[in-house]
Amino acid sequence: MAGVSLQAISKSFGDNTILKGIDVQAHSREFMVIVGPSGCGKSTLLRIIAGLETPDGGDVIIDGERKNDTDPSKREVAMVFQNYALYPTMTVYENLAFSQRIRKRSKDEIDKRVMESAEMLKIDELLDRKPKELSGGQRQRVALGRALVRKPKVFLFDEPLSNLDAKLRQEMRLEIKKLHTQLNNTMIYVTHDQTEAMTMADRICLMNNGIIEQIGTPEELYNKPANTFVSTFIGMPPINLIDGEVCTENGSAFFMSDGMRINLEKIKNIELLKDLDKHVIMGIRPENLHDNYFAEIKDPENTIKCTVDLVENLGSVALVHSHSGNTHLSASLTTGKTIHPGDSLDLIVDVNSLHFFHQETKERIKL
Amino acid sequence: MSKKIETLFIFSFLVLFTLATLYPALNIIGISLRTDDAFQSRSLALWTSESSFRSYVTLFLKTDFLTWMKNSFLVSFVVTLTGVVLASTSGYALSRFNFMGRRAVLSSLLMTQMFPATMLLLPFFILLAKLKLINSYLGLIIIYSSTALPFCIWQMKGYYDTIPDALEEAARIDGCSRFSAFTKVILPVSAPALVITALFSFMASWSEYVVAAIVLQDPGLYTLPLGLKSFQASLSTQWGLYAAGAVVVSIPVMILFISLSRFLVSGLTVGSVKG
Repeated sequence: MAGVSLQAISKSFGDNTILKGIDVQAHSREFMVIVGPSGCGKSTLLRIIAGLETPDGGDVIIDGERKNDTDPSKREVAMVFQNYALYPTMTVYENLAFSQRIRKRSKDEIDKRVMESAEMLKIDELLDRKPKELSGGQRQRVALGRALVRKPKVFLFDEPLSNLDAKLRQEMRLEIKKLHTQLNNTMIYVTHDQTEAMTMADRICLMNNGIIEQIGTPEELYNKPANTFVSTFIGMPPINLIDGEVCTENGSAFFMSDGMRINLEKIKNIELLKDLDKHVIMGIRPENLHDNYFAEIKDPENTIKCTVDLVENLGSVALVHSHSGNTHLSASLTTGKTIHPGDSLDLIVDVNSLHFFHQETKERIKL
Repeated sequence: MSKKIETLFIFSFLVLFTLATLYPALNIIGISLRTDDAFQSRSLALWTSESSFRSYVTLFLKTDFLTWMKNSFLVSFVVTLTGVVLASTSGYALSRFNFMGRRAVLSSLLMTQMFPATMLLLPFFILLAKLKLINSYLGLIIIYSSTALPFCIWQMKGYYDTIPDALEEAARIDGCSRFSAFTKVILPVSAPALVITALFSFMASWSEYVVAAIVLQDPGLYTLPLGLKSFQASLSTQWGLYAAGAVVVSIPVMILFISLSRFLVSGLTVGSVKG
């Protein structure tokens, strides 16, 4: 199987620079997700791999060969588009068979490939229908099937699930992941949805404003975000970022902010933090804040007294928005007791899950 | 109540216009079936005791009508083919590629539509005379094509603009070259626009008289409109023949319309991409 390597890829449209020297490698058989907010250049990057856009600079290497000047038809990649892009005048069978007919394969071979893919995606009942007679989910399956029939070296997905409803999206997410396990192909998947990235990726490439912010496994991006952007983009509900200072009192380190004082002594390598400029941004994920009421081990030194502003009940957990002084905090709490806006709430901070970032560069402080 | 009045008003309006449209058609059929003397008759009856198919028999057997028809078919066929081939390809280029002068080309195509055809007669005549194309079908075809093309190109371009780029991108990734993505995927989707282009090009040449009258002088080369006009002499006009000819001339157009109308459906791209 083929790996894809992008080296110093740059691309501008007029005065608008979309990609600023991208270096990334999707290993052979890897499921790599390129994720980022709208307009970050992720789709352009995918289109450059497919050959639908030409990079202004840099190299596209597929399976060890430079493909910059190779026509899309000869790159041996298959792509699933966000809006399906099915051929409307053809039946599902003809849509699936199209690429094979272009390659002048025998009728039996085409039949075999189409049936194989159709069965794999459970669309064998739909082969005689036209795209307009299909539901959104069925259309996306056909679009997937069209890629499968090709048996390409690399699969490219351009936000394939963003037009589906939430339930269908979850189903298809599983299906695509299963396909990857089954086919064991290199897959590059573009999305703006961090949940898709976290649940599907072997490795994530997180982009913003035409540059790569971080590449790593979902765990790495979640547990060790390279900067504040990564920390806020990955994780749902988003991380709480709090500006403050690291102070030393009687030899112990504390994080101080408006309405908040947290003892940092339990953190490994806390000495490193003490030596730095004392202005930092502290990050704490909502799931690392716990309701003191239910806590088995109390930690009075790291308990924040908050006032509840708003409660979003998500079923198994409630997302509680509160404030302490001028600091806003979101906490994801198990719904053991009913919480109302205006209630006071004691939140215990899980000190070992804290993240620290330089206030100026927003880069992670590695402890 | 007001709804009923509104419906009544709409239907009266439609009936009036249907009558206004049908009257000349029925009248000309009636004239073609009567004898020459009955031209001035005010009767609306299609078939009277005087009626016969004599004019039709004379038309086919004693005039050059079949030659004119053959000539008209030849000219119209070539103009239609030229119109469809050139408009479909140039419309695609203007819709999909961003090249230098694209806007200028589009504007100038539009500008050609602003001049009345009669204003162009003299320049056309001089041009064809210099090219020694007077009295030739080639000259006529060039003029018909060049006057029909701007409209056809614009409307093909407009249709291509509505087809998502993802469709041909998918085709290219599936293994098509740019050209085969165009012929195998985009053209089939563009059937309604191609039909309009074909009909427009055909009509522009089939029933055209003024240009044909200045280009074609040899009666053997006459197209149908010129041939029909030749029934009209300075002292007497053979109205029966004229009307029978007019009826026959309109038949191929009707057949073409009816047979192509099934392609004139909207929403051919439905289901292709997320709407």
